Amino acid sequence: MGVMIGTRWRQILVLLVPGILAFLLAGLSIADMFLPKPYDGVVLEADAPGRLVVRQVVAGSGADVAGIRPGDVIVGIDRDVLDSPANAAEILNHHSIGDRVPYLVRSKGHLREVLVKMGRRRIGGTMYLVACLLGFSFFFVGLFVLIRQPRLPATRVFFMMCVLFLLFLVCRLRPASYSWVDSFVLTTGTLALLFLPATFLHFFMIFPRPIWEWRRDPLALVAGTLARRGVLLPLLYLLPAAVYVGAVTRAHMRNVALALISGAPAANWWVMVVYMLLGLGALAISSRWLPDPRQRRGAGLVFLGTVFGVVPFLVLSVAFPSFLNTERFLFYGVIPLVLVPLTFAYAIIRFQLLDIRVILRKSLMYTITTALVTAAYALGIASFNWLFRGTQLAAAPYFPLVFALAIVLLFEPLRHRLQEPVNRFFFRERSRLQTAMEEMGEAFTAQVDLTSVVRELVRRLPELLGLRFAALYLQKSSVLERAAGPSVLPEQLPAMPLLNDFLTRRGGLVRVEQLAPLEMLSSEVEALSRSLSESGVEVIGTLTSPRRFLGLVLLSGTAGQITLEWEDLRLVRGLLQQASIALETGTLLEERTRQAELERELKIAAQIQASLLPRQLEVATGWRVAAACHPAREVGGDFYTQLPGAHGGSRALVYGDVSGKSIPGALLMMAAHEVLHALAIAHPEPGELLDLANRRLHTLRHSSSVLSRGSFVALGYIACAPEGGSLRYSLAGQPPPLKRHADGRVEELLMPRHRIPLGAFPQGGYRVLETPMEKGDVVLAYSDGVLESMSPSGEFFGVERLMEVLEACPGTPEEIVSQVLEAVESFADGRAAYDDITVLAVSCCRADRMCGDNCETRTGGNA
Amino acid sequence: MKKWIPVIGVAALVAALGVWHLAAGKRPEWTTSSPQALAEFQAGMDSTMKMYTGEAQKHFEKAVQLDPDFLMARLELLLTGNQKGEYRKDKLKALVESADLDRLNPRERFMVERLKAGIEGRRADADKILDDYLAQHPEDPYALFEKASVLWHTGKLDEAKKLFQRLIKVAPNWVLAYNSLGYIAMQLEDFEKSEENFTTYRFIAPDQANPHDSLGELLNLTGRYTEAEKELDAALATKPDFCASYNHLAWTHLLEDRPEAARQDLQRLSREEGCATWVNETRCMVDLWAPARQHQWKQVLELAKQDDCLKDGKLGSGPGGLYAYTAAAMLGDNELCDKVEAPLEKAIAKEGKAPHLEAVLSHLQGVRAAAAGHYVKAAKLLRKADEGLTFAGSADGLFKLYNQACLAEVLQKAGDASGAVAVIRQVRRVNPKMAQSFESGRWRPLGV
Repeated sequence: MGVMIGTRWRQILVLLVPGILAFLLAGLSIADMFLPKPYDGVVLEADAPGRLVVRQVVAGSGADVAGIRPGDVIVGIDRDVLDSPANAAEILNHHSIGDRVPYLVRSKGHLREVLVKMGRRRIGGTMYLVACLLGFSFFFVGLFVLIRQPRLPATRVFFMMCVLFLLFLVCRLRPASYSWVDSFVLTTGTLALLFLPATFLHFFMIFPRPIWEWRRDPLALVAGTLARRGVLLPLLYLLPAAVYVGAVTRAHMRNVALALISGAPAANWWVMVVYMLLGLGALAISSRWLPDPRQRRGAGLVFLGTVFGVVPFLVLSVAFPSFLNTERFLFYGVIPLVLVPLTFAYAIIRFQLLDIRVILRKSLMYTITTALVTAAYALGIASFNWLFRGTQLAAAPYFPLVFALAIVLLFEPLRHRLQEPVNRFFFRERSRLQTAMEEMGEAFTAQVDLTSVVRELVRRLPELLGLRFAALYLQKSSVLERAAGPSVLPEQLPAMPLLNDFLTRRGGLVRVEQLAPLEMLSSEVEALSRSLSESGVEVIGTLTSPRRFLGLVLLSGTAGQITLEWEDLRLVRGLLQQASIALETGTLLEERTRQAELERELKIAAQIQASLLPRQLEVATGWRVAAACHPAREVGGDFYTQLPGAHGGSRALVYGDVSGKSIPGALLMMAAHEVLHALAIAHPEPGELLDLANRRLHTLRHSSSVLSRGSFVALGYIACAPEGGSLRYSLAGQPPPLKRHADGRVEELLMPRHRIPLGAFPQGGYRVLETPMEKGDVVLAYSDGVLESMSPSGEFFGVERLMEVLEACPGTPEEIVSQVLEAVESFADGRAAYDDITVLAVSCCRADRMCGDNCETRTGGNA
Repeated sequence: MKKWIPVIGVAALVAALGVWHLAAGKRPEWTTSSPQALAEFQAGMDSTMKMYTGEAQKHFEKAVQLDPDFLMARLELLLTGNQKGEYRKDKLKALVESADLDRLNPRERFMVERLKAGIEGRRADADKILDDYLAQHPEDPYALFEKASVLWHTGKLDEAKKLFQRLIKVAPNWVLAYNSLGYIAMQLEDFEKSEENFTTYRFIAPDQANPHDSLGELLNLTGRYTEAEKELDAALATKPDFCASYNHLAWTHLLEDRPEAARQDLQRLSREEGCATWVNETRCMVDLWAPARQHQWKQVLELAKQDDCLKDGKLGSGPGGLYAYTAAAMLGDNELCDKVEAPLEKAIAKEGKAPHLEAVLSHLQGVRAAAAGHYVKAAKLLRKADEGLTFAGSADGLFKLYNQACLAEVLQKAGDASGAVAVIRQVRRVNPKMAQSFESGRWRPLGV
């Protein structure tokens, strides 16, 4: 994005620099007119090199009083015969305001000498004021278009055209006097005039598409070839300059006066005529044969703007003054020029997603406000002049300059003040739209109902923006389903991450034809783009939350054209972002509700599961038992229980650990629990019991769609001999129990050879091992969750650490269970347990006889 | 960086050219080691341009005092002396021969070499030196002025005009060019253009007498006597010792038929020192005017002898000599007539081709023929005179008009009334008042 912004500004800056220079030059040219220099009131003919022909005399000026009239020639000033206006300027600079200077004037063929009183300079008449306003309007319209669409070549050419127009109107039509500033400014205006047709031709050749890209005419082919070789533009822009230099050189070599028409030699006018004809021809071709009807309309509009704007200007403002020596119609030639920036800007922006209506209104409003402010200041100036007339202050040479500076400083604030109410008045429709869209945005943020959001979006967008329709597609798994919109649109669209990325990078909203670069990369996008275009979709927008892509919004204009302006686009983008957030919030709320339900259910499941664990463990007299089970989640896969023992009245302990956690683990645990209990009644013999349970669980696993293929149950079986002295055990996937002898030694009990978890394989073969138990001996059985407990540094608890804990804890089974659990908890140091933990401790109170009163049987619990 | 090298190179070249141009432009125009002498010399040249010979001489003298090695100042001093009748050819020759040409700048060298060639009588060489220098320095105003003047004085009016026009393009305030152009325009009978040039001349140098005087001459010729009087008064107000203006003013007053005013002009002229050469001629004109207009030829002749208007048989530049000759012709004083014609014939024979002298002689012979009653012959001779005469200045111009009036009178006498009308029409085109005077019958130049 940063790179994109950088490129955009670079493109703008490359053009802005000359544009701003031109703007400054035009501004300085006007400012120069306010400097307190002695001025005779003579406005010179700009096209009479070497002669000072009077074009106009400012009413009431020294020249006017002296009887100098338009058409007269100033031959000499202050006893010097003049050879150039610069010569006159140099002479006049030696005088002060109020001096009476002798002039030698040729009037109607006779020379006469008159005395001219030097006065202050005044800016030109209404025509020049209009020309200045028009010139600056050109500049601002061009600047506006450039900033909006800096990447379009047509925009850049258009901006240069506007800059040249500014220079021509402000500089070339300036009431020229004698100073070097005048000649410099006039020359600049002439240069602008020379290059203006080149920009026209350039623009016409590339707008709306380079003509050589779609035409096969010989001329288009030649232009295309030259363009590809990079010589078209240099040729186009240097030819007028070359012709100018050639004409001047030729005249100089032949020692003849160069006839100028509005500052340019006749040869240049022929070049201009050819350029204009070629340009208009190219434009006519575009408006007639361009494949896209909208582009044809745009080219046609520009054609009309040129014909009705430029042709009257060339005839009335250039040809008439030059050939017929009359400026009567100059004003009527300048006014239609306003069509050029407006039609051109309209055409550029209309076909590039922006609404010219706003530009039109903004330009117009700006011009009106500026005119109002100018009129106010003119009134102010007149009042001041009237007030201070005849005073010393008015006679001060810097009075007009200070006054002009004050005007410059006050102009913008006052214009700004006026602009706001004017905007409010003229753009109230837009203001209403903005308010409505803000309200809609607020409604979105308050909505949690997805349907409401969708309905609001699809119903109000067309209503507010004057669209034909709006449609919404929401992501459902791998496709986009139409949630709202007309039936002409497909029910489903393929979800394309490429498209989503593109839309996100472009700010979330693009015209369908702007997908062109993407169409080159993906045939799917190409097909989608074509399909949407055929359905009348003009703009495509994305709904994306920070977490994911949500869907697409499609918009179609009323008249086959989206009339969204830059600010509107920003609003729509904001609206889509709010809609995205609303959609995402709705989804999250649904998910949260579902999760709460699940959690509640899990809690119930946990309670059920906990209720399965025996409240009290009884194995046999003389044995003391303690157990605890800590599930890692709400519901776990570990359990322990007691079953009928192999000997009458005896009890056996089993502790299990099912693979999988949460609900599936819990379900399997319950299944294993019930299977073991059911089988133990008829088959208490541990080997048989385990074999049968294995077969049953294996069958269950294969027949269930819930249980995965990896579902099995690790089980440990412990039975204490009622007569004491030994403990029988069997293992099916559980780690070997530890035995702490009365003397404190800790060892791992032997493991049976066949110890496959239950349900893993169909075959059985579980064997029962026996270990002698002396008084004080303790056997600690545990699930693998104990060993796999992990410290924050990622270290496993392990069997060695467990043995150490057991060795250091010579207490009762309850104390041992408690110590082990504490040790594990301390080791994990707050880290959540990955697996359920089950610990079971059995100690023999008396080895040779039944345990007495001091030997109790205890049970642990589901901690 | 590489792409900037050509730009920097071009910028450096432009800067170097600019410095060279400025340095070249600051070289002094005249070779002297003394700035004060240079200032005096410049002032002298300005005075020369104003035709204020006395002032010019003073400035040149001062310049020479300040820098005795200032060759151009010494030359100009001698040349100005020449204009005042103090020409010392030997001194001038010695000076140009001893000049160290290597010390001089090209323009000074050219001036000295040309002067030397002129002094030595090598006119062709002098012309070649001028042409060569002008070819090398086509915009040197001094050379342009010299060449244009040569062309003018040899009758090549169009070429001279072009060169003077080029001169004023190069140096728009070279006032004498306007003066010359004004006289050339008079010769070419383009009186509007002539007035334009004199007016421009007057605009540039209103503090000089000559532009007013030149304009006064033109106005005299064209019958705008009131304006002429105003200009000539302005000339004299500007410079009371501008002798020619008294003569011209007297003429104005005579043409206005105000002989008393003319006599006052003569008196004022007589009071001015340094105007002696003008006094006699003006007196002849003033004294002879009225009796000549009334065809009192005896009185004319007596006054002419009294004023010595035909001294050594020379007509002079004013009308006095002509009136004296006419009176002699009318009174049949062939001896005096022959005495006047003889030096003309001699000069014509010497020059080979001298249109002006031939025209004057034709006029005299025509008058003589008219006086003898040979009107057809007289008409033929006067017409021939008319073809040779020009409007170069008021004296020549008024002479041409006078000759035309004589021709018209003779034609009438010869019975060619339409011819006379046609001739008077020509007069009217230049001076309507003179034509009207003739047509009304109030004035006949010969009274035959």
